[in-house]
Amino acid sequence: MFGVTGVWRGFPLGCRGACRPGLRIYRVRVYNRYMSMRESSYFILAALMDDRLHGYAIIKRAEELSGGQVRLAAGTLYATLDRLVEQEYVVADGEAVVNGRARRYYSLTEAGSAALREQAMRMAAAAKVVTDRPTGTLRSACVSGESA
Amino acid sequence: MTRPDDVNDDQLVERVLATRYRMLLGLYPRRYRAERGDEILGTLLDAARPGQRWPSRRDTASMIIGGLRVRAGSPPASVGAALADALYLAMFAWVSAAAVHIAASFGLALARSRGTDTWTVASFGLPFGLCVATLLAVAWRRYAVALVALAAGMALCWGVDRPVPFWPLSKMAAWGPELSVAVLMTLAALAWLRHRPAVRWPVVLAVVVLVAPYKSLIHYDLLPGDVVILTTWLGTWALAWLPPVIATLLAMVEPRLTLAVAGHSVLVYLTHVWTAVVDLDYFPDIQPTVAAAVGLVAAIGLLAARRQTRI
Repeated sequence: MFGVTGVWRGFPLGCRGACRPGLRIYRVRVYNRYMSMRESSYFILAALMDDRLHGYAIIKRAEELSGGQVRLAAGTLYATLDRLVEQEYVVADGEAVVNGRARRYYSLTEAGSAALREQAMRMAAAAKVVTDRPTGTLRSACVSGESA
Repeated sequence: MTRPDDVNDDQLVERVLATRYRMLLGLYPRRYRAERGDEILGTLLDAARPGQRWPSRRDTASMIIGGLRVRAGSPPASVGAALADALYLAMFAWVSAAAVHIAASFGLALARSRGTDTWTVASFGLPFGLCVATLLAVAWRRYAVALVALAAGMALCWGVDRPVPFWPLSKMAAWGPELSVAVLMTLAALAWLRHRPAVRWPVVLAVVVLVAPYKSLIHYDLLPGDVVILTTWLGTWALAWLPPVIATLLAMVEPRLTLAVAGHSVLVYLTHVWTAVVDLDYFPDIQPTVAAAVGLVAAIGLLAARRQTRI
């Protein structure tokens, strides 16, 4: 609840950013474990993995990487970027004016890259629960469920 | 619109669209606009379809919500921090509701020409002044000063040996000492935490505007007897159904505001319950509905606050 310096760090409920997930309530802990990052944040960070990008390029790249599932509106993009910059997951990395339009470029930081990988591992672990199971087992369970 | 010779159709359309997007950017605070406005405008124009003259509905909605969120302050670090901010806002709701009611009651006393003697002016003026002092002290994060001022205001209302129509301060003091203690303990908790709110003044203003006139101005004390039944019924039903509707809209922008409204509703509800138990059979049928509505508001606020804390 209090840090080493005695500064209030919020009630011991929930957690965000780089702190370790895991709560006292079991269901919330499970939820946190796999879904601690919003889908929009995940794909924005993923879009910045290869190169620095400006706002519109992030929108396009995120849409492409998500197979068209994540279509970021400008308000959502900048609200998310603000939080990612605040968390030091992303930094502003240069400005330019192209065709009379102002552009600011963003890059992924090491902390951002680590958070992205951590989230990807969580989702991979969650996916493994299903993909590692032989298809036959699932089918037989379904069939027995139907017959019951 | 006159067109300069060196501007083609596409450029003209883009200028029209840019002007409309700039109007939407006006929803963001000036400082934020100065820093990011051109960049956001560039992104919006990059994303526009050829020949697009009006902002899309998605962009409009996201910019309205985004702009209001930036004005509201930085998001909470945790659900606990959101709850502490909500309590901070609820203090404004509770105390400003009391202040508005005292002022309204004073206006009514003057209108009925029965309260211009020094005693009446003092009996209205002192609690009102203490409420205002409490609000200012909370705004400046002088919680200990606020605690003393509010306790003095409550003691005054409780101690005055005549009917004092100061709702809800007098209701809290006269009908539910426990509720008074709950409010004072909230203030004490904020003092103990040395709470630094992450919400900005527009949210404080919003909670005061939303809550302070609510119920106080339509309270039956202020109206002739014939209208009492109708307004009481309407007021109580509004108390039950208006908050969930408002809360759902508020939660989209600022869940802490939703939680503060829920906190205020809890206090109003408890005051009603206490009155029903102690005084008379006061709206017994409506209580489960009100309780459900308040619970719904709190649940909406908590879920939205939890979502807000995620990156």
